[in-house]
Amino acid sequence: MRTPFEDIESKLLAKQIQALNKHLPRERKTLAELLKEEKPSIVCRDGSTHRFIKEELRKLSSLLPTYCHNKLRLPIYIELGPTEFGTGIARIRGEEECKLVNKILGVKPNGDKVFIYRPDIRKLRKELPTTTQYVFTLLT
Amino acid sequence: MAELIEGVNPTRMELLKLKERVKLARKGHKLLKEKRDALVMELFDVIEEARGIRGNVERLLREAFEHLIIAESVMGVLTTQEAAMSVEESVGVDFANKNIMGVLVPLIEAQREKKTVIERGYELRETSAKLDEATDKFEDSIEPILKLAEIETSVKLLAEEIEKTKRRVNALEYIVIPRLENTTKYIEMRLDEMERENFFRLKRIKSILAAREVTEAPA
Repeated sequence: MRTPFEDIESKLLAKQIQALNKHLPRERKTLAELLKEEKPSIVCRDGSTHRFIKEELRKLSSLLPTYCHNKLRLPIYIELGPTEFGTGIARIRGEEECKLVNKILGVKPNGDKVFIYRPDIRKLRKELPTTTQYVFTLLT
Repeated sequence: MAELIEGVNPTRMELLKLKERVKLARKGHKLLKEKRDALVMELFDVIEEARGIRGNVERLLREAFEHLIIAESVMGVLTTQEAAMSVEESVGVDFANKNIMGVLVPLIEAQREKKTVIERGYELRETSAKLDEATDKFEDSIEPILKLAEIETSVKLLAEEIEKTKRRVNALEYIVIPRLENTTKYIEMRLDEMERENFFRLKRIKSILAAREVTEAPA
């Protein structure tokens, strides 16, 4: 049974994580939707607009088969947070997302998720600067 | 050495509360450290991209101005200015933002197609070929200038955010967490001390009662 302290703690932590993740979109869009837009963008939780580079979207569409364009939701989340293995490890979830990471980095996914390390995170961010976003969470 | 939290009651309830706060502060600290590390990584990538761009822009502008000076000396300053006034604005710039962990970094795109000499709008019969060359050079330098503006602003904004996050991480690491830990230790020590005092008091009472029993007992 949870104590009242644990409840307060989880609430405060949730609030802190929310503040760290205010740059995330209110709603993610699929690759197919974004490819149709003249100026592809999404609205973030803090009210700002995040623009995608068209060239990058075209690159993604060439890496994935057409039937996946409706399934891939952008931006791709790179989940960061302390894990039992230490820090600096990121998790990427989702079937299409894992396929993409596999194609770009050559890392084999474990089911519908893949764990990558700092040099790979850097490489991925370099390849996809606007179509990936960091998420801060407790990876437990 | 970190201080203690003032006005804290050395009770078991307070101790439990503090232990939870320490746990929470440690989790927050780890998350903020992750954010700081990710921001530093982004900053290094932007700096790497910026390397060479400034030099390139400076070289392009120097060449463009050299051609302009020659054009001015051939055609005269007034004619050159006249030609410049007759040129229509040709660069459309699309300003947008990309959000990197809450930092709104500019995304500048130039929307233009390279114009031919005839499309530029100035009178060809009255101008020198050097002016065309200068115009070419200036047109070529537009995109690198915009890229440089984007990168230099990004570096500045990311550096500011890193500083802010670093300050928060350090405050948690060197002030908040040690203070909470010290207060927890202090309460534990006080509770132990109170327990020892109680134990000693009971022992003392017991010995007093025992001594009284001996003196009051009928001989």
